[in-house]
Amino acid sequence: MIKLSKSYFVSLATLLLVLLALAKLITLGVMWFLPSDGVDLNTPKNYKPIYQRVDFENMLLIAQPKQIKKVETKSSISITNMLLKGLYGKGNKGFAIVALKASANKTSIVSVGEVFSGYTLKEILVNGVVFEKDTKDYILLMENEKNTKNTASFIMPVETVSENSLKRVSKKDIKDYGSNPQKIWNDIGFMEVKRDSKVYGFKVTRVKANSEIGKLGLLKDDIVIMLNNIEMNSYKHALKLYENIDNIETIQIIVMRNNQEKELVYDIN
Amino acid sequence: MVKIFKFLGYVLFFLGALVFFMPKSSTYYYVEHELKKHKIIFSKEELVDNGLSLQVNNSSLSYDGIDVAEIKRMNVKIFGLYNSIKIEDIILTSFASSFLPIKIDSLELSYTIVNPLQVNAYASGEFGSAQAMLYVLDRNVSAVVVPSKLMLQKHQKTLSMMKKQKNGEYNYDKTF
Repeated sequence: MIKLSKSYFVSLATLLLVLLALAKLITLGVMWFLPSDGVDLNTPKNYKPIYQRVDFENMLLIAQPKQIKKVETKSSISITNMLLKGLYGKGNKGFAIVALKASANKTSIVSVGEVFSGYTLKEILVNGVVFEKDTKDYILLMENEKNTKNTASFIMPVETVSENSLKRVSKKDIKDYGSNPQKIWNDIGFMEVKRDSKVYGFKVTRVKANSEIGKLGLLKDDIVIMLNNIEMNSYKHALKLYENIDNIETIQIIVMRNNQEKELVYDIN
Repeated sequence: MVKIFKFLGYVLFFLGALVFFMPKSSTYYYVEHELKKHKIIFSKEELVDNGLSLQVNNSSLSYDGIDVAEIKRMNVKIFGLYNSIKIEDIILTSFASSFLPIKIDSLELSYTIVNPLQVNAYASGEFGSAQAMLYVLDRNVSAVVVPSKLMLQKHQKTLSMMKKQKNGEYNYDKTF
Protein backbone atom coordinates (compact mmCIF):
# COMPACT_ATOMS: atom_id res chain seq x y z
CA MET A 1 0.00 0.00 0.00
CA ILE A 2 2.80 2.39 1.01
CA LYS A 3 4.70 1.42 -2.09
CA LEU A 4 1.67 2.18 -4.23
CA SER A 5 1.09 5.66 -2.79
CA LYS A 6 4.80 6.42 -2.96
CA SER A 7 4.98 5.46 -6.58
CA TYR A 8 1.84 7.55 -7.27
CA PHE A 9 3.32 10.67 -5.63
CA VAL A 10 6.66 10.16 -7.32
CA SER A 11 5.03 9.90 -10.71
CA LEU A 12 2.84 12.96 -9.96
CA ALA A 13 5.84 14.98 -8.80
CA THR A 14 7.79 13.88 -11.86
CA LEU A 15 4.97 14.88 -14.14
CA LEU A 16 4.63 18.29 -12.46
CA LEU A 17 8.37 18.83 -12.65
CA VAL A 18 8.33 17.95 -16.33
CA LEU A 19 5.49 20.45 -16.85
CA LEU A 20 7.42 23.10 -14.91
CA ALA A 21 10.56 22.44 -16.95
CA LEU A 22 8.55 22.60 -20.18
CA ALA A 23 6.95 25.91 -19.14
CA LYS A 24 10.36 27.32 -18.23
CA LEU A 25 11.83 26.16 -21.55
CA ILE A 26 9.02 27.80 -23.50
CA THR A 27 9.37 31.08 -21.60
CA LEU A 28 13.14 31.02 -22.11
CA GLY A 29 12.51 30.54 -25.83
CA VAL A 30 10.08 33.46 -25.83
CA MET A 31 12.55 35.58 -23.87
CA TRP A 32 15.11 35.07 -26.63
CA PHE A 33 12.94 37.10 -29.01
CA LEU A 34 11.96 39.84 -26.57
CA PRO A 35 13.95 43.05 -26.03
CA SER A 36 15.99 43.39 -22.87
CA ASP A 37 15.57 47.17 -22.67
CA GLY A 38 12.62 49.47 -22.63
CA VAL A 39 12.03 52.82 -24.20
CA ASP A 40 12.65 56.13 -22.48
CA LEU A 41 11.68 59.56 -23.58
CA ASN A 42 14.74 61.68 -24.26
CA THR A 43 14.13 65.34 -23.79
CA PRO A 44 16.80 67.99 -23.61
CA LYS A 45 17.11 69.47 -20.15
CA ASN A 46 17.74 72.95 -21.42
CA TYR A 47 15.81 74.54 -24.18
CA LYS A 48 17.79 76.74 -26.47
CA PRO A 49 15.72 78.45 -29.10
CA ILE A 50 16.96 77.84 -32.59
CA TYR A 51 15.78 81.25 -33.60
CA GLN A 52 17.62 84.26 -32.30
CA ARG A 53 17.48 87.82 -33.50
CA VAL A 54 20.83 89.42 -34.13
CA ASP A 55 21.52 93.12 -34.24
CA PHE A 56 23.82 93.55 -37.17
CA GLU A 57 24.48 97.22 -36.52
CA ASN A 58 27.28 96.23 -34.21
CA MET A 59 28.48 93.38 -36.30
CA LEU A 60 28.41 94.10 -39.97
CA LEU A 61 27.37 97.41 -41.36
CA ILE A 62 28.48 100.17 -39.04
CA ALA A 63 26.42 103.08 -40.23
CA GLN A 64 28.27 103.29 -43.49
CA PRO A 65 26.51 104.50 -46.58
CA LYS A 66 25.61 101.47 -48.58
CA GLN A 67 27.81 101.01 -51.59
CA ILE A 68 26.07 99.27 -54.35
CA LYS A 69 28.48 97.20 -56.29
CA LYS A 70 27.95 94.62 -58.89
CA VAL A 71 29.19 91.23 -57.95
CA GLU A 72 28.46 89.69 -61.27
CA THR A 73 26.32 90.76 -64.15
CA LYS A 74 24.71 88.34 -66.49
CA SER A 75 21.40 89.96 -67.11
CA SER A 76 20.19 87.14 -69.33
CA ILE A 77 20.25 84.69 -66.43
CA SER A 78 16.88 83.80 -64.99
CA ILE A 79 16.41 83.60 -61.25
CA THR A 80 15.25 80.03 -61.71
CA ASN A 81 18.86 79.21 -62.50
CA MET A 82 20.02 80.46 -59.15
CA LEU A 83 20.62 78.54 -55.96
CA LEU A 84 20.51 79.95 -52.47
CA LYS A 85 23.24 78.15 -50.53
CA GLY A 86 23.12 80.12 -47.30
CA LEU A 87 22.09 83.35 -45.69
CA TYR A 88 23.08 85.44 -42.75
CA GLY A 89 21.18 88.26 -41.16
CA LYS A 90 17.67 89.52 -41.44
CA GLY A 91 15.69 92.24 -43.13
CA ASN A 92 17.89 94.67 -44.95
CA LYS A 93 21.05 93.71 -43.08
CA GLY A 94 23.06 90.65 -43.92
CA PHE A 95 24.17 88.68 -46.91
CA ALA A 96 23.29 85.65 -48.96
CA ILE A 97 25.48 82.95 -50.46
CA VAL A 98 24.26 82.26 -53.97
CA ALA A 99 25.38 80.27 -56.96
CA LEU A 100 24.22 79.41 -60.41
CA LYS A 101 22.86 75.95 -61.03
CA ALA A 102 25.32 75.56 -63.88
CA SER A 103 28.23 76.01 -61.49
CA ALA A 104 26.78 75.13 -58.11
CA ASN A 105 30.17 74.96 -56.42
CA LYS A 106 31.12 78.47 -57.42
CA THR A 107 29.39 80.57 -54.79
CA SER A 108 29.21 84.33 -54.40
CA ILE A 109 28.49 86.34 -51.29
CA VAL A 110 25.96 89.04 -51.97
CA SER A 111 25.13 91.71 -49.39
CA VAL A 112 21.81 93.50 -49.28
CA GLY A 113 21.87 96.12 -52.02
CA GLU A 114 24.36 94.28 -54.17
CA VAL A 115 23.56 92.86 -57.56
CA PHE A 116 23.97 89.27 -58.66
CA SER A 117 23.23 88.22 -62.24
CA GLY A 118 21.16 91.34 -62.74
CA TYR A 119 19.11 90.83 -59.58
CA THR A 120 19.49 93.19 -56.63
CA LEU A 121 19.39 91.58 -53.21
CA LYS A 122 16.65 93.45 -51.44
CA GLU A 123 15.93 91.62 -48.23
CA ILE A 124 16.90 88.61 -46.10
CA LEU A 125 14.06 86.41 -44.94
CA VAL A 126 14.10 83.55 -42.48
CA ASN A 127 14.56 80.86 -45.07
CA GLY A 128 15.08 82.84 -48.22
CA VAL A 129 15.93 86.14 -49.80
CA VAL A 130 14.12 88.74 -51.86
CA PHE A 131 15.73 89.80 -55.12
CA GLU A 132 14.51 92.71 -57.19
CA LYS A 133 14.72 93.18 -60.91
CA ASP A 134 12.84 95.68 -63.05
CA THR A 135 10.74 96.72 -60.02
CA LYS A 136 9.57 93.14 -59.57
CA ASP A 137 10.33 91.12 -56.47
CA TYR A 138 11.55 87.53 -56.68
CA ILE A 139 11.89 85.25 -53.72
CA LEU A 140 14.63 82.68 -53.68
CA LEU A 141 14.21 80.15 -50.90
CA MET A 142 16.78 77.95 -49.29
CA GLU A 143 17.08 74.43 -50.51
CA ASN A 144 14.60 72.20 -48.77
CA GLU A 145 16.72 69.88 -46.66
CA LYS A 146 14.55 66.91 -47.43
CA ASN A 147 14.86 67.48 -51.11
CA THR A 148 18.52 68.25 -51.32
CA LYS A 149 19.07 65.32 -53.60
CA ASN A 150 16.74 66.71 -56.17
CA THR A 151 18.06 70.07 -57.12
CA ALA A 152 17.51 73.22 -55.68
CA SER A 153 16.06 76.37 -54.47
CA PHE A 154 12.59 77.27 -55.51
CA ILE A 155 10.85 80.51 -56.08
CA MET A 156 7.51 81.62 -54.85
CA PRO A 157 5.82 84.91 -54.25
CA VAL A 158 6.18 85.94 -50.64
CA GLU A 159 4.75 88.91 -48.90
CA THR A 160 7.61 91.22 -48.09
CA VAL A 161 8.55 91.30 -44.47
CA SER A 162 8.89 94.72 -43.00
CA GLU A 163 10.25 95.98 -39.72
CA ASN A 164 6.66 96.74 -38.81
CA SER A 165 6.03 93.03 -38.45
CA LEU A 166 7.97 93.11 -35.18
CA LYS A 167 5.55 93.34 -32.30
CA ARG A 168 6.04 93.46 -28.60
CA VAL A 169 4.35 91.12 -26.19
CA SER A 170 4.37 91.45 -22.44
CA LYS A 171 5.61 88.54 -20.36
CA LYS A 172 2.64 89.07 -18.07
CA ASP A 173 0.18 88.24 -20.83
CA ILE A 174 2.15 85.13 -21.67
CA LYS A 175 2.22 84.07 -18.01
CA ASP A 176 -1.55 84.59 -17.85
CA TYR A 177 -1.99 82.25 -20.76
CA GLY A 178 0.59 79.84 -19.30
CA SER A 179 -1.24 79.56 -15.98
CA ASN A 180 -4.58 79.17 -17.69
CA PRO A 181 -4.20 77.10 -20.87
CA GLN A 182 -8.00 76.94 -21.20
CA LYS A 183 -7.88 80.65 -22.04
CA ILE A 184 -5.73 79.91 -25.09
CA TRP A 185 -8.37 77.58 -26.49
CA ASN A 186 -11.08 80.10 -25.70
CA ASP A 187 -9.26 82.75 -27.69
CA ILE A 188 -7.90 80.75 -30.59
CA GLY A 189 -8.54 77.43 -32.29
CA PHE A 190 -6.14 75.34 -34.36
CA MET A 191 -6.56 72.39 -36.66
CA GLU A 192 -3.71 70.38 -38.12
CA VAL A 193 -3.21 70.56 -41.87
CA LYS A 194 -1.74 67.55 -43.64
CA ARG A 195 0.08 67.26 -46.92
CA ASP A 196 1.08 63.85 -48.22
CA SER A 197 -0.28 62.41 -44.97
CA LYS A 198 2.24 64.40 -42.93
CA VAL A 199 1.43 67.36 -40.72
CA TYR A 200 2.38 70.48 -42.64
CA GLY A 201 1.18 73.10 -40.18
CA PHE A 202 -1.64 74.25 -37.96
CA LYS A 203 -4.53 76.20 -39.35
CA VAL A 204 -6.17 78.93 -37.30
CA THR A 205 -9.83 77.95 -37.26
CA ARG A 206 -11.01 80.89 -35.14
CA VAL A 207 -9.47 83.79 -33.29
CA LYS A 208 -11.13 86.20 -30.89
CA ALA A 209 -10.37 89.60 -32.35
CA ASN A 210 -10.35 91.54 -29.09
CA SER A 211 -8.27 88.98 -27.16
CA GLU A 212 -4.55 89.33 -26.45
CA ILE A 213 -3.86 86.58 -29.00
CA GLY A 214 -6.13 88.28 -31.51
CA LYS A 215 -4.10 91.47 -31.26
CA LEU A 216 -0.95 89.64 -32.29
CA GLY A 217 -1.91 89.55 -35.93
CA LEU A 218 -2.87 85.93 -36.49
CA LEU A 219 -5.92 85.70 -38.71
CA LYS A 220 -8.50 83.01 -39.33
CA ASP A 221 -7.29 80.54 -41.99
CA ASP A 222 -3.62 81.38 -41.42
CA ILE A 223 -1.55 78.21 -41.42
CA VAL A 224 1.28 78.31 -38.90
CA ILE A 225 4.11 76.43 -40.59
CA MET A 226 7.12 77.46 -38.57
CA LEU A 227 7.77 78.62 -35.02
CA ASN A 228 11.24 79.92 -34.19
CA ASN A 229 12.62 78.22 -37.27
CA ILE A 230 11.18 74.86 -36.26
CA GLU A 231 8.81 73.27 -38.75
CA MET A 232 5.41 72.74 -37.19
CA ASN A 233 5.03 69.14 -38.24
CA SER A 234 4.09 67.92 -34.80
CA TYR A 235 2.24 69.11 -31.70
CA LYS A 236 5.43 68.37 -29.82
CA HIS A 237 7.27 71.34 -31.27
CA ALA A 238 4.52 73.79 -30.47
CA LEU A 239 4.23 72.52 -26.93
CA LYS A 240 7.98 72.54 -26.35
CA LEU A 241 7.94 76.23 -27.15
CA TYR A 242 4.96 76.73 -24.87
CA GLU A 243 6.68 74.90 -22.01
CA ASN A 244 9.86 76.94 -22.39
CA ILE A 245 8.26 80.27 -22.99
CA ASP A 246 10.01 81.72 -19.92
CA ASN A 247 13.40 81.24 -21.58
CA ILE A 248 12.47 82.78 -24.90
CA GLU A 249 12.92 86.42 -25.76
CA THR A 250 11.69 86.35 -29.32
CA ILE A 251 9.02 84.36 -31.08
CA GLN A 252 9.00 84.17 -34.83
CA ILE A 253 6.00 82.71 -36.57
CA ILE A 254 5.84 81.93 -40.27
CA VAL A 255 2.31 81.61 -41.52
CA MET A 256 0.85 80.82 -44.90
CA ARG A 257 -1.70 83.53 -45.62
CA ASN A 258 -3.49 83.56 -48.96
CA ASN A 259 -0.87 81.13 -50.28
CA GLN A 260 1.91 83.49 -49.34
CA GLU A 261 4.35 83.15 -46.50
CA LYS A 262 4.24 85.87 -43.91
CA GLU A 263 6.58 86.31 -41.01
CA LEU A 264 5.39 87.58 -37.64
CA VAL A 265 8.01 88.43 -35.05
CA TYR A 266 7.33 89.13 -31.40
CA ASP A 267 9.73 90.50 -28.83
CA ILE A 268 8.81 89.34 -25.34
CA ASN A 269 9.58 91.83 -22.62
CA MET B 1 -14.36 11.68 -15.28
CA VAL B 2 -11.48 11.62 -12.84
CA LYS B 3 -9.11 11.43 -15.75
CA ILE B 4 -10.66 14.54 -17.33
CA PHE B 5 -10.34 16.48 -14.08
CA LYS B 6 -6.78 15.29 -13.74
CA PHE B 7 -6.02 16.42 -17.26
CA LEU B 8 -7.63 19.83 -16.65
CA GLY B 9 -5.64 20.13 -13.44
CA TYR B 10 -2.40 19.49 -15.30
CA VAL B 11 -3.33 22.01 -18.00
CA LEU B 12 -4.09 24.67 -15.38
CA PHE B 13 -0.86 23.88 -13.58
CA PHE B 14 1.05 24.21 -16.85
CA LEU B 15 -0.64 27.53 -17.71
CA GLY B 16 0.04 28.82 -14.20
CA ALA B 17 3.68 27.85 -14.57
CA LEU B 18 3.81 29.59 -17.95
CA VAL B 19 2.40 32.79 -16.44
CA PHE B 20 4.78 32.55 -13.51
CA PHE B 21 7.88 32.00 -15.63
CA MET B 22 6.85 34.40 -18.36
CA PRO B 23 9.49 37.14 -18.75
CA LYS B 24 7.09 39.90 -17.79
CA SER B 25 9.60 42.74 -17.87
CA SER B 26 10.80 41.75 -21.34
CA THR B 27 7.20 41.43 -22.53
CA TYR B 28 6.54 44.89 -21.12
CA TYR B 29 9.60 46.22 -23.01
CA TYR B 30 8.27 44.61 -26.18
CA VAL B 31 4.93 46.37 -25.70
CA GLU B 32 6.83 49.61 -25.07
CA HIS B 33 8.66 49.25 -28.38
CA GLU B 34 5.36 48.56 -30.16
CA LEU B 35 3.72 51.59 -28.54
CA LYS B 36 6.69 53.73 -29.53
CA LYS B 37 5.71 53.18 -33.17
CA HIS B 38 2.48 54.98 -32.30
CA LYS B 39 4.44 57.76 -30.51
CA ILE B 40 3.31 56.55 -27.08
CA ILE B 41 6.12 56.26 -24.55
CA PHE B 42 6.14 55.17 -20.93
CA SER B 43 9.28 56.29 -19.17
CA LYS B 44 10.98 56.58 -15.77
CA GLU B 45 9.06 53.52 -14.55
CA GLU B 46 10.08 50.87 -12.01
CA LEU B 47 9.06 47.31 -12.79
CA VAL B 48 8.22 44.78 -10.10
CA ASP B 49 7.56 41.17 -11.09
CA ASN B 50 5.02 39.82 -8.63
CA GLY B 51 5.02 36.31 -10.01
CA LEU B 52 1.55 36.27 -11.49
CA SER B 53 1.41 39.97 -12.38
CA LEU B 54 3.68 42.85 -13.26
CA GLN B 55 3.53 46.07 -11.32
CA VAL B 56 4.74 49.28 -12.96
CA ASN B 57 5.35 52.14 -10.56
CA ASN B 58 5.80 55.86 -11.11
CA SER B 59 5.74 55.97 -14.86
CA SER B 60 5.47 58.99 -17.05
CA LEU B 61 3.31 58.81 -20.15
CA SER B 62 4.01 60.90 -23.22
CA TYR B 63 2.51 61.13 -26.67
CA ASP B 64 4.56 62.44 -29.57
CA GLY B 65 7.13 63.82 -27.13
CA ILE B 66 4.49 65.66 -25.14
CA ASP B 67 4.15 64.75 -21.48
CA VAL B 68 0.58 63.64 -20.98
CA ALA B 69 0.38 62.08 -17.53
CA GLU B 70 2.16 60.77 -14.47
CA ILE B 71 0.99 57.33 -13.38
CA LYS B 72 1.62 56.12 -9.87
CA ARG B 73 0.77 52.46 -10.23
CA MET B 74 -0.10 50.10 -13.02
CA ASN B 75 -0.86 46.41 -12.52
CA VAL B 76 -0.67 44.15 -15.54
CA LYS B 77 -2.16 40.67 -15.38
CA ILE B 78 -1.86 38.38 -18.36
CA PHE B 79 -3.48 35.03 -17.76
CA GLY B 80 -4.40 34.28 -21.35
CA LEU B 81 -8.06 33.57 -20.64
CA TYR B 82 -8.43 36.82 -18.71
CA ASN B 83 -6.11 39.79 -19.03
CA SER B 84 -6.30 43.14 -17.34
CA ILE B 85 -4.41 46.36 -16.79
CA LYS B 86 -5.37 48.35 -13.74
CA ILE B 87 -3.98 51.86 -13.60
CA GLU B 88 -4.25 53.91 -10.43
CA ASP B 89 -3.56 57.54 -9.56
CA ILE B 90 -3.16 59.19 -12.91
CA ILE B 91 -2.29 62.87 -12.87
CA LEU B 92 -2.63 64.56 -16.23
CA THR B 93 -0.24 67.37 -17.10
CA SER B 94 -1.36 70.97 -16.81
CA PHE B 95 -1.72 71.17 -20.57
CA ALA B 96 -4.31 68.40 -20.54
CA SER B 97 -6.15 70.32 -17.84
CA SER B 98 -7.67 72.35 -20.66
CA PHE B 99 -9.70 69.30 -21.59
CA LEU B 100 -10.22 67.33 -18.38
CA PRO B 101 -9.83 67.62 -14.61
CA ILE B 102 -6.31 66.40 -14.02
CA LYS B 103 -6.83 63.56 -11.54
CA ILE B 104 -8.04 60.16 -12.65
CA ASP B 105 -8.30 57.75 -9.73
CA SER B 106 -8.39 54.52 -11.66
CA LEU B 107 -8.62 53.09 -15.13
CA GLU B 108 -9.11 49.40 -15.72
CA LEU B 109 -8.83 47.72 -19.08
CA SER B 110 -9.85 44.10 -19.36
CA TYR B 111 -9.92 41.52 -22.10
CA THR B 112 -11.31 38.05 -21.85
CA ILE B 113 -11.21 35.22 -24.31
CA VAL B 114 -14.94 34.72 -23.78
CA ASN B 115 -15.46 37.94 -25.73
CA PRO B 116 -12.36 38.07 -27.92
CA LEU B 117 -13.38 40.99 -30.11
CA GLN B 118 -14.06 43.42 -27.31
CA VAL B 119 -11.90 45.32 -24.81
CA ASN B 120 -13.68 46.79 -21.81
CA ALA B 121 -12.57 49.86 -19.91
CA TYR B 122 -13.80 51.57 -16.79
CA ALA B 123 -12.43 54.83 -15.41
CA SER B 124 -13.28 57.08 -12.52
CA GLY B 125 -11.85 60.31 -11.25
CA GLU B 126 -12.48 64.00 -10.86
CA PHE B 127 -14.15 64.01 -14.27
CA GLY B 128 -16.79 61.55 -13.08
CA SER B 129 -16.87 58.02 -14.37
CA ALA B 130 -16.81 56.38 -17.75
CA GLN B 131 -17.48 52.96 -19.15
CA ALA B 132 -16.03 52.25 -22.58
CA MET B 133 -15.91 49.40 -25.01
CA LEU B 134 -13.47 48.92 -27.86
CA TYR B 135 -14.78 46.76 -30.67
CA VAL B 136 -11.66 45.39 -32.31
CA LEU B 137 -13.26 44.17 -35.52
CA ASP B 138 -15.31 47.32 -36.14
CA ARG B 139 -12.43 49.53 -35.00
CA ASN B 140 -14.89 51.45 -32.92
CA VAL B 141 -14.83 52.94 -29.43
CA SER B 142 -18.05 53.56 -27.61
CA ALA B 143 -18.11 55.25 -24.21
CA VAL B 144 -20.68 56.39 -21.70
CA VAL B 145 -19.53 59.20 -19.45
CA VAL B 146 -21.24 60.25 -16.26
CA PRO B 147 -19.70 63.68 -15.67
CA SER B 148 -18.98 65.12 -12.25
CA LYS B 149 -20.07 68.62 -11.19
CA LEU B 150 -16.51 69.85 -11.82
CA MET B 151 -16.58 68.45 -15.33
CA LEU B 152 -19.96 70.01 -16.01
CA GLN B 153 -18.84 73.39 -14.71
CA LYS B 154 -15.38 73.71 -16.22
CA HIS B 155 -15.12 71.42 -19.19
CA GLN B 156 -18.25 71.92 -21.22
CA LYS B 157 -16.10 72.23 -24.31
CA THR B 158 -14.94 68.61 -23.95
CA LEU B 159 -18.46 67.46 -23.19
CA SER B 160 -19.72 69.27 -26.26
CA MET B 161 -17.84 66.70 -28.33
CA MET B 162 -20.17 64.02 -26.92
CA LYS B 163 -23.83 63.37 -27.28
CA LYS B 164 -25.94 64.22 -24.25
CA GLN B 165 -28.56 61.69 -23.18
CA LYS B 166 -31.81 62.39 -21.36
CA ASN B 167 -30.52 60.81 -18.14
CA GLY B 168 -27.58 63.24 -17.98
CA GLU B 169 -25.01 60.80 -19.33
CA TYR B 170 -22.87 61.59 -22.34
CA ASN B 171 -22.15 59.19 -25.16
CA TYR B 172 -18.97 59.17 -27.20
CA ASP B 173 -18.62 57.10 -30.32
CA LYS B 174 -15.65 57.05 -32.64
CA THR B 175 -14.52 54.80 -35.44
CA PHE B 176 -10.84 54.84 -36.26
